[in-house]
Amino acid sequence: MNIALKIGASALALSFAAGMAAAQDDSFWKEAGAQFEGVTLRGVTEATPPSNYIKDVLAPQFEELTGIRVDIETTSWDQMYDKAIKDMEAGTGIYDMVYIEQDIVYAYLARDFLTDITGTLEEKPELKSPTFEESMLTSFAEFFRDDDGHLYGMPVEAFIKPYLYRTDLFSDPEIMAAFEEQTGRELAPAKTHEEYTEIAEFFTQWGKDHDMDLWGATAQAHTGHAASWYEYFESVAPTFGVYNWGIDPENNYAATVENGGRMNSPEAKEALKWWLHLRDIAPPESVQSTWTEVATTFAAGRAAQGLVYGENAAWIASDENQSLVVGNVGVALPPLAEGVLEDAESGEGYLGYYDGGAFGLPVTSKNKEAALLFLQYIAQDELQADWALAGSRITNDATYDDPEVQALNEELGGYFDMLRDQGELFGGAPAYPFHAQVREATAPIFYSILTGDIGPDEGLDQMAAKAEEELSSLGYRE
Amino acid sequence: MRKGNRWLPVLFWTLISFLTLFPIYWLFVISVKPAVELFSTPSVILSDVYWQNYLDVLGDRTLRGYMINSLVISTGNAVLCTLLGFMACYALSRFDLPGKESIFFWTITNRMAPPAVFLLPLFLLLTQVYRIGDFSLADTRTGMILVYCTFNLPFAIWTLRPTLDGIPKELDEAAYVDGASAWKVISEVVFPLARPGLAVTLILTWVFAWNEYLLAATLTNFNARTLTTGLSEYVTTTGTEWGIMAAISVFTLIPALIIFSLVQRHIVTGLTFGAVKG
Repeated sequence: MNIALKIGASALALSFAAGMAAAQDDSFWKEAGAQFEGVTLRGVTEATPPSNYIKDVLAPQFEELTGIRVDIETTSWDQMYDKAIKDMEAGTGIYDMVYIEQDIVYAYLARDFLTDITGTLEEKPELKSPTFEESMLTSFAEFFRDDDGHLYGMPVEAFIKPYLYRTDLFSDPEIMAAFEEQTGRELAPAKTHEEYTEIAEFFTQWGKDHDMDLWGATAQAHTGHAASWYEYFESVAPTFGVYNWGIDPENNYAATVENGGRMNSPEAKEALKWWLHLRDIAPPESVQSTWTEVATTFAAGRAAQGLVYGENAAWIASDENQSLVVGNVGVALPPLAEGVLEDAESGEGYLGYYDGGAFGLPVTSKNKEAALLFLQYIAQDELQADWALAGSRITNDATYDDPEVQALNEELGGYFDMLRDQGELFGGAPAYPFHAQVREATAPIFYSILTGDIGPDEGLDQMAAKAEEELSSLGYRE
Repeated sequence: MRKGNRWLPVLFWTLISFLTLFPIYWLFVISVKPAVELFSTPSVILSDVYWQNYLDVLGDRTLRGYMINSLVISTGNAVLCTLLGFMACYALSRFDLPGKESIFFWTITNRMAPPAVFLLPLFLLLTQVYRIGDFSLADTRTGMILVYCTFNLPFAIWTLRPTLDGIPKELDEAAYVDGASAWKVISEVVFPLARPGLAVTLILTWVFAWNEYLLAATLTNFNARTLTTGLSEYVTTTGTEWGIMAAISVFTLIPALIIFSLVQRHIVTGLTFGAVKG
């Protein structure tokens, strides 16, 4: 048998095997779905590209295969929560699937809102798809497990918050020469906070001198929106070594330095002052910017560098309809204080926020078993590549190897590589069921810091004390 | 000097018109610009026109469904409120009901609290209380037509009362003397005379229902979502689709403009009807 014949025969065998596997998979879905004839699953989620893909592509595919209809309601972020929580609290059972953002899952678990996916599949092996294993999922799934390691949400979105910079500016010979002359070092993405500040100041001045709409940094520094609170606690403080908002659950939920917490530690204060300085040299809209406006600022070419949520990084780098900097976006790790990278590598800390969400099954769902099938369906490896291309999200390890995903990765300046190789260095929100309560209690003080009514040192002291007061009233501190 | 004065009112009203119409113009400008232009340096001047936002909206089957829901719900609610309001006001105007002024005042109390106060009770009523087997009023057009009566019916009653009071009772009495039945009096004497007030009530309740967001956002899910709730789908963590939102907003203006233009001659009459009752 010559080589060509061998290759041909192998290809034929492979395609036959693949066909058999597909047929087997289809038969599972058809058989499993038959018992739920006439059932309509209803889900609520935020209208984002990954969720729209579920609604427009995956749900119809699933219906064709199983006969189970899937209606996905897409709405705004606040409406999504309002509707899902109201449904689960009142036990009305409108929804069979709800989108769970990473930072609210612990509150949902504390209130027993969600069905144990791992446990249910163990109890009912007949519902378990041969193409689904929890081990297929990326490390992001760990943020949706309880203390026993049981999964409570099927990840559908996952993004880290990287450091974006303008490759066209960073490689411009005139700018490089000017920067080197001014600072004595080569212009390159910052690794430390000092370098980041130096670059930010340089570009802000460069913009002024050359009459350009250009500033050195972005800042998600809205003076009355939770986005600024999150930017500081999720993205800035960790890079200075202040993790989990500076609250220590192992030490009686201490927040103040006095009691062993770190919310008002010297590192926290240094982090806040660093960020406030950047805010002051960022584009003027920064004081009204949430996560969305920071992205549009960067996409409009108004900032040379910035910390931007990964879900935006994708369209900024690739969508010419929305971005003026397509093809000119570089991705790097955020600037770090000494020891933070080591902390992240050892699992003691993290470099920034690992954001995203999952689909969970409310315990109030009237069609849990059918919904469980759908969640397994959308988690299959073979569906992931197209989903990643449509929504720039990756939740299964196998997705990274797809050639088209690799091509998109190049376009995104290596963002997917970073997600794969360094995603584990980023952290989700701390596992606090009191997440919203502590944020709301401390946010007014934080906004007063941003408006200049309180100094950063004094403000963080007040916030740490307020956090402990709130935790005491909630019964966490003894 | 006199000539100069003549131009002053023209200048004044031109300025006022400009200020009034500018937001609509700006909305249209946003709707015909690509996102990348809006995010960089948006210009007030309309140069290149980008129709893709409109094509996206028209091509979206879901949005078309929302539009139909909005039309059915707001029209159904406006007709129901106007008819019920007319009947209530006829009774309040023509009969000596005990405590009728208190009843009249009581109807408006529903509008004194913010709608958010009624959200949870209405949610529970629609999803759990008014339920027969698998059927409930939640997420149905009928349910939303009835829900909007909570706020629009009191408004209709308060708008129509002066109209009905302004129609002389002597006309009813003359018709009765001529042998007309109560139904004939209502349908052939009072109703035609009340037309300006009915038109105003109809259009204003229609606009309130058409523009309502809070209740629709909470009480509809898959079947009865309206156009205003559809707008919220374009505010996401990955960006706000300003162009598409503006295009939808322009679409939402069109039915209201058509209806206003059709009945505008009735509006002034209706609003002042009965104001100088003799």
